[in-house]
Amino acid sequence: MELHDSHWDEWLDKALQEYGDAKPRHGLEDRLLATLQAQQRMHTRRAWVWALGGVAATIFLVLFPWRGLDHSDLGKRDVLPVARASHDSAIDHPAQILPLISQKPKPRTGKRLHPAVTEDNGSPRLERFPSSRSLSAEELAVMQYAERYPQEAMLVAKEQQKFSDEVRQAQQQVETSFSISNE
Amino acid sequence: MTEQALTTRAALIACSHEDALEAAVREHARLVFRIAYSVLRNHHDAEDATQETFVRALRYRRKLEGVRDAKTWLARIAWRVAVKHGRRRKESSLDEDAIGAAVLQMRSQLTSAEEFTLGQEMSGLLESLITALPENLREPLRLSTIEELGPSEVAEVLEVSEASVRSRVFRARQILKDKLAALGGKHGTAR
Repeated sequence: MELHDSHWDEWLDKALQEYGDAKPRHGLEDRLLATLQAQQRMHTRRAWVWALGGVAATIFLVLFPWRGLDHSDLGKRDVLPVARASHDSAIDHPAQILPLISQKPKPRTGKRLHPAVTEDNGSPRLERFPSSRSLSAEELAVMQYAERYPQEAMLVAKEQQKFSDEVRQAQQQVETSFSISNE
Repeated sequence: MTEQALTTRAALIACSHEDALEAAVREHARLVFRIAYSVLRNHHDAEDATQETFVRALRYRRKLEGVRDAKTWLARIAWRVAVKHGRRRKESSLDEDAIGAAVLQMRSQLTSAEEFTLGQEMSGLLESLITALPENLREPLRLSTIEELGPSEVAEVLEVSEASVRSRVFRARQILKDKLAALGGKHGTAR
């Protein structure tokens, strides 16, 4: 059976036309519009959430400025316990002033100090070191004593110096003996 | 411009975007579906692709008013979405019996003046033959089967020249005719 090319063309035209003639299920447009409305609502809601989040973050940053990264503040916190301790105890035991001041600072570990360490005695936090506040009654008494009896005050200071030297020597001896025993 | 006037203008713009998109859905949903179906050959997949096409159009709806031809713009999005979905599709193969039935139907339609219907087997055979075509011939042929798209629009969707589309469709049809004739001869002498 011989077929002309035109027969084939005609048949192929019809076949391809029917091949491409797909009919969607009824109500395609309505389903599409419903989907688009849902998408738009979701988009609007998401935009509102982002906007409110941004506003809340801005308000938080304005009202509670971030101070945790202030390195000068961290430095103050390291010094404060020593300063307060020396201030409180040196009045009763003047001979302990120098050992307290000459204490070796603890090596930094990179961790932030726990708040409990810095607020141990309930005294107000000092904004500057040394403190800018006025002298206490005990400190004034010590000053008056030094002005009135300068020679005795000098003797006390020398005794304190001698005591601190002895303590330092003793610490060095202990460290040396430890290092020898470890070796 | 006062604040109230600005708000009114913004509301009008938003409404016009929505109206434009709704009009595009009403006007071009079937075309988009057919483009998706021409690639995916499955109603559910084609409808999913159609929805994704319009969701993308919603995302870029500000462009919709600026485009010269919304129909071609949507057709191009639909084509890309369908091709992306089509990569996940498994190809089905026809068995010998189905091919034999399809060829028998084709021969009877060629030799008689009976009303043309593309049966399931014939549709499957045509699909497998079109899938076997090289990609550069297959794509224009598939798009040219959609009656809403002319050669110039197919050319814009595929981003090639119109002459190129015409020559590729001609070559694809030639290959299909040869293969169908060979199948007709083979199955006609076997029976």
